[in-house]
Amino acid sequence: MIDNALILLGSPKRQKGASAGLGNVFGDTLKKKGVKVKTLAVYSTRSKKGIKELITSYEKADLVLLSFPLYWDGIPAGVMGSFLKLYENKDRFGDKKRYLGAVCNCGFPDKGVCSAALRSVELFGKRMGMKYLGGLAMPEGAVIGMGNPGSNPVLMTNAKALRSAADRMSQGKTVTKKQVQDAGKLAMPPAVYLFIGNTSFNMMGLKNGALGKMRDTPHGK
Amino acid sequence: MNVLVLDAVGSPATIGSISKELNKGRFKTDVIALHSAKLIGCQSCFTCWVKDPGTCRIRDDAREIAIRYASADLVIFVTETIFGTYSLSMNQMIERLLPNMLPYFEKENGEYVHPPRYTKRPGILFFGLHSSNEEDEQLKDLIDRNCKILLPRFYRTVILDGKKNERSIRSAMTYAKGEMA
Repeated sequence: MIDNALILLGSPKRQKGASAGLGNVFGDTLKKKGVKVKTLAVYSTRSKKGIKELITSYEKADLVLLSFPLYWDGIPAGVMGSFLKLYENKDRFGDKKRYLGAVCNCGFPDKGVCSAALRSVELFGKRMGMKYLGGLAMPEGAVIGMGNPGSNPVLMTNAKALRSAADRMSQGKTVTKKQVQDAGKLAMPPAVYLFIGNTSFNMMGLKNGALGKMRDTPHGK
Repeated sequence: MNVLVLDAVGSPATIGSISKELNKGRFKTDVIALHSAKLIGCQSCFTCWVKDPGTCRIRDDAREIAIRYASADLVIFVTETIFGTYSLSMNQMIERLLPNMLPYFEKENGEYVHPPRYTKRPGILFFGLHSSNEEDEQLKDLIDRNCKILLPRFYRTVILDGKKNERSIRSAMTYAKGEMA
């Protein structure tokens, strides 16, 4: 049913970072199922050539999987730009049946904050006439971004859920509640994650000679 | 009172109605046409958090708007509603408010956020152009979520459906003036 999949990476980090890592987990599983996979970073599709590649890749795809970071509880502007380009060209895509799925990673321990962004993806799919197969929300994005999420021991349950969700999607089936639940499992207790996160920001500030200025208010009170 | 109007739509009628209401008060108003401004979205470099705290490294219109936001008393957002989210330029602009937030995770109203850098918080009015009912509802939900991050002094969301726009704008402006008085 699904011969060609398009994986869209929705982060300005393009082929690096958490979104790319999660996209690869999906892509590898789909390839094992015999699906031809094309991966595109949406932030690399802003030129005329890039837009053409986005449109032709979409035209060919049976399944579109978007892997993106949560920005301001919504979809990143780069993703929005790609959605608009595809929507503007909707008429040329005909009535071919296409499926849509998404995985959103957020920097917070509460995966619930991804709900509005995933809903926007679903609404995009609705406007495009696609069948939405569901969205997975993954908390503690900084852990996901450390190396390959497919082989990170603290993300074993999450990665297994992603692979089984990719398997379902390769058959045009909606993801299950268990896959959603397991994909959103915390890699570490929130207090530990937040402590490490805040300490990391201080370390970065220290490295850049900005530690004493982290709470500065240069443009107001 | 400093008022910043961020217009991602370019509808003279909508901006005209807002300006008409603002002209009735003593406001220093700045209307910025986001739809034709030079801006891109956040590139997630974190320079504004860990290298030059409070200032974006990208030198475009969004950088200056974020600076003006920090001293505004009222910010008025005017956006289309598409896929239940903002117009592209509004999406880009909101992302670029990141320098106005702190890097640290802190709990506010029961949720972890990166809290505002500045103690002075503007009031916010969101005017969203009607799309479909479900996209309108989704936009309102997103705005509620964004206001949990921005922690404005007050905020109100108004969906403009073209029927009673002028009256809706007048009512929202009256509310904002009352809150700022």
